[in-house]
Amino acid sequence: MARADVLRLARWEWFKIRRLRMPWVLLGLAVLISQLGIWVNYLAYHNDTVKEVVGGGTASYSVSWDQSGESALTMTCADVVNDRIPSGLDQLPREQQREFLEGVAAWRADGSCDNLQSLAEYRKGFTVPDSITASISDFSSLGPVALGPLLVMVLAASLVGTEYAWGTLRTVLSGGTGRRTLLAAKLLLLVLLCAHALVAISLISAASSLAATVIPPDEARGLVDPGRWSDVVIIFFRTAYGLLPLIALSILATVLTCSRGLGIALSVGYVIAESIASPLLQLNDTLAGVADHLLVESFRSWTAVPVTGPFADTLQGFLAILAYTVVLVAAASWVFQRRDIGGALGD
Amino acid sequence: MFADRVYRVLLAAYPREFRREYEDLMIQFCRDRMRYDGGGIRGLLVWTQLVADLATSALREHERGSGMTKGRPVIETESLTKIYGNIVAVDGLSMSVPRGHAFGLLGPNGSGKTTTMGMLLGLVRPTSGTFSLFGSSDGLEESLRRIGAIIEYPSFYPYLTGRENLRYFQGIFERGAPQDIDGLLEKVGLADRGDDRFSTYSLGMKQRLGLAFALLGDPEVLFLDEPTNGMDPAGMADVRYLVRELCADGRTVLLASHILNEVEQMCDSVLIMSNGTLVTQGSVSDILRAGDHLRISTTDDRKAVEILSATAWVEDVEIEDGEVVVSAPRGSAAEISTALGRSGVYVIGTNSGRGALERYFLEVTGDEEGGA
Repeated sequence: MARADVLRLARWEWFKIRRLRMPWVLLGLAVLISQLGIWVNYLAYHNDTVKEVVGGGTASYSVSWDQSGESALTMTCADVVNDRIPSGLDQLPREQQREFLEGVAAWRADGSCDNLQSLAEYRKGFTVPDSITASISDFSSLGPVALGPLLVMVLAASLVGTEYAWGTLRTVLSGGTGRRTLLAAKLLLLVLLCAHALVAISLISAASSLAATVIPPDEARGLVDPGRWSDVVIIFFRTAYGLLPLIALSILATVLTCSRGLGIALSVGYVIAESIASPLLQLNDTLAGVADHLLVESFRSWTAVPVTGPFADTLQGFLAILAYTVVLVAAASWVFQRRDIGGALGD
Repeated sequence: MFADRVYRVLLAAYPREFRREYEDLMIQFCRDRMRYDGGGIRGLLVWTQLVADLATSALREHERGSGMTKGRPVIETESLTKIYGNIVAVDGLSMSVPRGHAFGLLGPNGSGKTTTMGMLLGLVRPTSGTFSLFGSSDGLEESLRRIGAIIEYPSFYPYLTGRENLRYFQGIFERGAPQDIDGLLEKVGLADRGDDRFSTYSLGMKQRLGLAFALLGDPEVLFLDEPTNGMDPAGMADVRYLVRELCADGRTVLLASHILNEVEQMCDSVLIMSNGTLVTQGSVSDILRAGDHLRISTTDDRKAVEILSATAWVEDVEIEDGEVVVSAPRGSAAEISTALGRSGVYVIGTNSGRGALERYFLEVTGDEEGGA
């Protein structure tokens, strides 16, 4: 398998798939997912209702010193996080002020306001460089199931699976294209596509940030907020690297089933199944160790390791991703090398 | 003798190895033919035809350059077998395809033609047996770069145009230059539709694109599996012409088909398969000769059998299904009629049957239902 052959094939794969609609639709979805965070932060920053809905800011601590409730004093999470003193506090006797503040501290200690960010944090969410870092993070992990990686897995299974569906695999291989070379070219192209998608997400996030800081005319604080640009680079490469075993899993599932549909179902199904099984395994002390090293969990850990986290954690995450990638790619290659190639199978 | 000298001059165009082995046999054949056909004007006509055939054949061998006896065969298989579960798709197939020939793989559906081609192209793993392409069993991928193939059904990317499909495959195979594509589209009759999406093509047009694909980079060997499937008569004629032209240029064509007429018209040699096994193999002319039967109805079938049995150039004669079946050289219907007429038996109907190969094919494959 010559490197030049892999590069040439990857180039021609690009020639072919750029004319396909599906990758562009998936990219559009990925961009949409990644931009949600920016605009939610923007709205929350400018609108108290959104802020309270998003961050649980409506939760409040309230104390009343008479039966009618007229002298009640209320403090919301938004007041707490933004260090706003509720009006009327200074008019209360000292003893009641102390009682109220102690109550607020205890209420806050319960974690009632943990989800609520300060205005400064909302602002960082839609200004560069943190908006870019957050977009990439949102792409790789949004909610309980990582939607971005699922899109990448669908793309990987489709890129290989359509060759079976249309019978073009036979046409490609009959001309002397090596099977390993073809698989390597597809893997390379998928990695490059993911990298380009992340670049697109970063650029669009920057454009969104620009728009978000320009739209309200009274905002004069500018596009850039304090943040580390190096974090953008680190999260970029970390996400791209983390996607490798997921791509390999999809390719393996597709060559195993010789079907685009089954490849998607099997690989995405695994991610969902592991997402459900992992918390259950965590209930058992012995199995918890196993759960920590499963594929999706390894991906989550790798992308969640703080940029400034301990080196040992980073190394462990890196090696776990590498091990999964090597094993899954080797398995896919082994299966692909041995399978008979038939005509168009449809899907 | 003057005639012998003419034969030798014409045979000089054949490769030396061929002449060493076959020259005397061919001259003897010509002599025998003239002896049977007698003299006079008719004899002169037969002789002229014989010399013309010999000259055409010699010219073709000369043009072919590499000749049928030169070097090792392009494709050789030895006990090639493919078993899917309990189904034996190909059973111990041993064959040899000479360079520069149009070689037909003939057999009914499911006889193992496509599986055989799949194994030769590295798409299907043989269960046992070996094969070699261009005399080498190593480096299959390298050998495949010298082969153009279209298997079973032309499969291309439906969202790309015909031109884009060819460009893509040209790119991944590194075959030829982009400017060749126009010529290829022209050659297969798709010049006007080259910029339309493959998904909009009819089956015949897809086959044409498949041919253009197989011709990318001017390969030495072509594997064509049912190339005329879905084509209109003009398209079929184009394919026949193309195959003959390719062979005349020294290319080797391995053509799988269940259409007997197609194989008969395009191929020099043929291998007949049935249920995965080789039934017979040889040159088309030999097989046609073996299957040369003329079915006639006469005013007296019994007497006709007696007369023809006594005729030297009739190989075999019998009554079958109320007809006299005569095994004799091709084109001898007039002679048979004349021989019978001299004895007062008249031919009232003849049926050479379309395609002697077809009858032979049905006999050897046991597919009397005509499933082929």
